[in-house]
Amino acid sequence: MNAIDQQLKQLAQDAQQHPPRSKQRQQALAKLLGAIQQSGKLTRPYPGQFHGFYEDIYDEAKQRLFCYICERIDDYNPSFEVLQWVNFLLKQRFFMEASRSMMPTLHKGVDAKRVKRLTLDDLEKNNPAEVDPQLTPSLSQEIIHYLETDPEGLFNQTYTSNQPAANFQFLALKLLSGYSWKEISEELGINISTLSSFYQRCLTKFSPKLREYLSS
Amino acid sequence: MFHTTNEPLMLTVPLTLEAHQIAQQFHQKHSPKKAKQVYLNTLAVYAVKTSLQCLEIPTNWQASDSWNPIMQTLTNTADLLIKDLGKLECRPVLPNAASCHIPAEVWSDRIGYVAVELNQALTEAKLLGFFPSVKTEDVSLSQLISLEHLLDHLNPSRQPIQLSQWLQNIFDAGWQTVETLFDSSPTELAFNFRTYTQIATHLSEPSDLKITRGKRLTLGRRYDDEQVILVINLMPTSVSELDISVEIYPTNGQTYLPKNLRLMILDDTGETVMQAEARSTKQIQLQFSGEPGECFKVRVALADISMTETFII
Repeated sequence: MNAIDQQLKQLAQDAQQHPPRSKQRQQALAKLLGAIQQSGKLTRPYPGQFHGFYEDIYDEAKQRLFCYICERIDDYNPSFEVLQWVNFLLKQRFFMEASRSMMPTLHKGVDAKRVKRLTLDDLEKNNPAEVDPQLTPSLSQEIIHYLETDPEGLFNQTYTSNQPAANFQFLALKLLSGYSWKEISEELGINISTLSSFYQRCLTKFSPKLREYLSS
Repeated sequence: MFHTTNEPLMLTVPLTLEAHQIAQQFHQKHSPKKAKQVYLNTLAVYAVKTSLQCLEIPTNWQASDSWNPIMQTLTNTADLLIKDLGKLECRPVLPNAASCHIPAEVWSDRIGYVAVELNQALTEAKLLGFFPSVKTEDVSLSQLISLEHLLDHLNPSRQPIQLSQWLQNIFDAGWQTVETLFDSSPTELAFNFRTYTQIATHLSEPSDLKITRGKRLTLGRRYDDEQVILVINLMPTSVSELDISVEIYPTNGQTYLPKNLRLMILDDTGETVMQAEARSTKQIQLQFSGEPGECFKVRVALADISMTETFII
């Protein structure tokens, strides 16, 4: 039994010692998961198979495995190494479950409707076609319209620091136009903390109205 | 506790198809610049939610602002509602970044901020650690506190508050001076200057021995919940006796306390020994004395919601 096995066993037994849902168990389980992940010793079953889908399946399997470890730590038998237990589960159970959960898609080959995981590069260059503004106003346009019309005069009349100019309508429209807190703070002569906490409270307060108006 | 490495605890979460599915569902509702922000925020919240779920800490993502496209438009939020505790902010960190960006619009009303590093392929998220509070938009990752302490934070101590420590100037988190508590009020909606001066005068009656601390209480967990300020005043009158005054004040620019708000003092058996109810009142106050070692509870109730703080003198 090497150092990693020893460490993992100790962490697993630590977790078992505390009652479920207790803070100490949570902390021990978090350390156990962290250590398993750091060890780099999780098996990668069925190499060469599931071409094109392997990583998606593997990640799904890992997620299911981690939750299971936490939920069923009491099932771990210390006569075996933690990695033995975990890798067995990963290969024999969770990898297969994960592949089956994606099976309907796999059978169809490349499914146009299948979700593809985007990367940071994808997001950088991703420019989804803008909805023709003539046809359907976008969500932000609707919000801007509501803020500007302000039918109850609420957004304009709710202000902070005894300064009517520092009202919710003004702040929201500025932020939606892309101004930074620094710029807004300089323009109004009020510090960022004050403005932003006022804004946060307004959002909480006006949220039901916004939802109601924008869902109709 | 046995742990071979002194490395801070970090958790890696796979960003599965499900994570991306959710992110894409929100992504398509926004303009390109906002869409990218929402995508990354969603992945970060997903990572934290999944980790907490494994540890059986109940969360409610659907009730969080980060799940609501209107809120996503109006604020750069990545909040996750933790049952009975409040909102945890889950900030995405780009690969190899040295700092975590935390926009000003989420500096208040958060129980903490978790830094979630995303890899270039967006297949993996790593929970690096957390900050209990922030005051600037770019926080260096060197200031992160290890995740195991986040779990301390998410399991608040139910221990009674030791008032004897107050006499030594040691206070639990959340208990602030009245200057701090009421100082945040002037910036609130429809601020009432006269009420503020009345409160300030009453509470600053000079006395070297008097100790005053207060705490903001939120009654309930909905959007339009009431907030009040609970203030405890201690005045030792002799070696073995303490005069205690428990007071409730309105906040957030309100002049009056919420109607039918009740303040109760309970003894150590849970019996209510004193109570007061607000009608059109600006404050309520209950006074009593106690001896070191005695326990009492302060309960603040409104309709079917109540909060209780336990104290030991």
